[in-house]
Amino acid sequence: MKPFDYSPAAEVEEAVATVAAAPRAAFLGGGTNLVDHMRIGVAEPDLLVDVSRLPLDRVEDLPDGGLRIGAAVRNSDLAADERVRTRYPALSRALLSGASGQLRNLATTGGNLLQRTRCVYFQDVTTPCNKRQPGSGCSALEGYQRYHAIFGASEHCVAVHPSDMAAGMLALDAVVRVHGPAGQRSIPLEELHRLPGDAPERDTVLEHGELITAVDLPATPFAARSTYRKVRDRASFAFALVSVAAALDLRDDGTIADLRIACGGVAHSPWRAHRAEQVLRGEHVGDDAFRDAAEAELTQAEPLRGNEFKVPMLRNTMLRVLRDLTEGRR
Amino acid sequence: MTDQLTPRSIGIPLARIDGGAKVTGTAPYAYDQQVEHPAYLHPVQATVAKGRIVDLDTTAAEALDGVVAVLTHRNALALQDIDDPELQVVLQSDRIAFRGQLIGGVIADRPEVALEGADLVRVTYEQEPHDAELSAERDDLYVPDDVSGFPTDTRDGDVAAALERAEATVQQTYTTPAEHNNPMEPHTTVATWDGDHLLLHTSTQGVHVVRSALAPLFGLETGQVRVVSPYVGGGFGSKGKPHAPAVLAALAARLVPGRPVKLALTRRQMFELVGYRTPTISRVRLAADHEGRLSAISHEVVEQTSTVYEFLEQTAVPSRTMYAAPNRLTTHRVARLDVPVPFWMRAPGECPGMFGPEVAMDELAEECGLDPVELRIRNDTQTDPDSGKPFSHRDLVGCLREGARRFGWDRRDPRPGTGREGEWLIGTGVASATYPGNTQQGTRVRIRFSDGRYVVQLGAADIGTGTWT
Repeated sequence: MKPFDYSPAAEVEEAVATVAAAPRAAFLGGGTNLVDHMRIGVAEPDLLVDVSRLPLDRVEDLPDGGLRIGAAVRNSDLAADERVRTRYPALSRALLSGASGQLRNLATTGGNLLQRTRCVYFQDVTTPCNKRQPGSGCSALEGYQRYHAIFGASEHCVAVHPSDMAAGMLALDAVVRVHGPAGQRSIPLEELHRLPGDAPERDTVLEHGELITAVDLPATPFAARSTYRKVRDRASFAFALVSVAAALDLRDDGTIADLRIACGGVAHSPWRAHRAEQVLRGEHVGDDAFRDAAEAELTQAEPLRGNEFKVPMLRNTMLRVLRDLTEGRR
Repeated sequence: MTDQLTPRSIGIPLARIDGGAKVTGTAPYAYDQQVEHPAYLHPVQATVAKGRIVDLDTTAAEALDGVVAVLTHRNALALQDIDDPELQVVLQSDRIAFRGQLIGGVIADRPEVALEGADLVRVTYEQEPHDAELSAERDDLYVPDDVSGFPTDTRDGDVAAALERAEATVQQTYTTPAEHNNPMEPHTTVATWDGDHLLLHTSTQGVHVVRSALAPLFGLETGQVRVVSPYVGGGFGSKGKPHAPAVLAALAARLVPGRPVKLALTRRQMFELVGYRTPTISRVRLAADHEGRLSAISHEVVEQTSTVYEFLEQTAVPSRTMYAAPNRLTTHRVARLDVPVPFWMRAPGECPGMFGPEVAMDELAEECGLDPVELRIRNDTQTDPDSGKPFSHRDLVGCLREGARRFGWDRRDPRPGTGREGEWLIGTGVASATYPGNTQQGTRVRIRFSDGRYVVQLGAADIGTGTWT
């Protein structure tokens, strides 16, 4: 573990300016991922700017009926928030399916979005990894692939984004608010994370010094009928093999007015299932339509030798989630 | 005198005498021992699976402020041959036998500096092709002399002929993955040399086991080594003998005489250095008549061990005594691989070895159209099929019947996937399990009676089960 400086920030502007001015500085949220990485040599920042105590720790109602979630809101507090539980149940469920009680008590909203892949090679500095050390190669291509991508991977990286929360938020049309050296901007969550391409070292579109200050959840007709299901190797404290978040707006005649489907554990980013959505929009709910939707999404799947099981697993999980959300409406 | 045997504490809720200390975090586990001016040790581990160290550059680590010494095979004390290769090879040569093997350690004034120093040790290897993949198709599987003291193979009758004649058969292969010990308290040691006396505070399930292994390893009399272990935060068998890290701590402390050296493994290091259960591949064959009476039981196991130390899991041994059948076969075949050293992990043999045969019994029940509890009852035996000796006590049938009663087995819907509660599929199933009630000779206890009180002295361990209380 390399020596480093630690600086608690009192204001957003100050935190952003401090990190922007130091090329090897990093923001520190709950530290549940970054501090581990410092211990094992994956991250070696020389300055940590602690943003966990900035006044960004509240969940506030927005005038249009949405919610603004401060970036420093802890995962456990967010999951327990009554407004989230009733208006955005997929988010609450996604949060509670992740990590452990102790970790959720520490982990922040902003940090959760920016956590890094759990690919075993990324986390082992003695092995080649393009994400950790650009140009060194991808060990997973010939190695252990159980937890790796089936969508949107490249020859440089087949890692997946590990967050449950992000997949839940993606199905709720979340928008990420960012404060950077050049000012503020809003990024739809779908555009925050990148696919690996030839630059897998970049997880997101954020520039150095840009700080997530909040996540906005808009008021939508589909968020209230939403859920999240995660499939994993153990009943708790394990990352998703696959997960599905879905949100549906149903008409009285049993057709789908609008919907969102997002998947975790299958791509370098939380994966929005646009093709599946397209099949279902306007359709009558039912197993046939659900199967067609899952198949449409999976036509673009490119599983690896070690994770072919993810294709039927994702199909079945999507089917189950859609059934659960429409029970009694078929 | 009989009134002395009336139990006063058994079955009564008791406050643990160490409960307060444990829940407040003040119980002194090995690493928590308050020692004067400690130094901290961080291991250096091999990053290749097989080969030789050709260069080991410790200059940068030694130059780091706060580093006290760097331990390598070049400055480590020579160890004695004690017929335990896992221990006696620690830092004795430039050979690498598995990825993660200990090849050195950095001793520093603070643990963070020791960790940084370990990262600064530059190692150059002459790498050799390694072989670390277990499969039943390997052509180099060997027949060990025995498996942890049990016969490697047993044969009675003719399994193949029984399978030919059988009205119902099951022939399947079942696998279990490698399983790693990782108790809440990792393996920790605080080692202090005082002249030619070694004091070890270490997390162990047997202080005498540690002493009797390490004393001769360091060329000492047993009395020159003292091992202290008041609390153990879980062991699961992995702390049933000392492993390489305890030797590393003692070697490191030798470089700083008189100064205690503290070592606590990280979670990740636990996967490579304290033993684990081999993956197992079990080929199980059962033959029965249409009423489910077994005519043959065959359990053929393929598993792995390390090139450093031959530890063998007695995977097929429980199949020798579980059910009666005139034709029986059990075998163990082993691949010796460039992998970390396996060792005891919670019910070695019984745990992975019961899985395949019990699933096969369920498949046989399905094949015969029988209730799986009834199938097991029909094949019970009061004589050990292996030795021919009667059991002193065996009540598997009673266990199965009582279990079935308590679980409402007679109201069960045997069709899979039919019971659902919310998001959960709820079903019932049955499996037999066994564990031997072994006794060991040679326990020594000193009991004195003075001033109306008994003083009992023995080398015991409390692995969290309440021995102190």
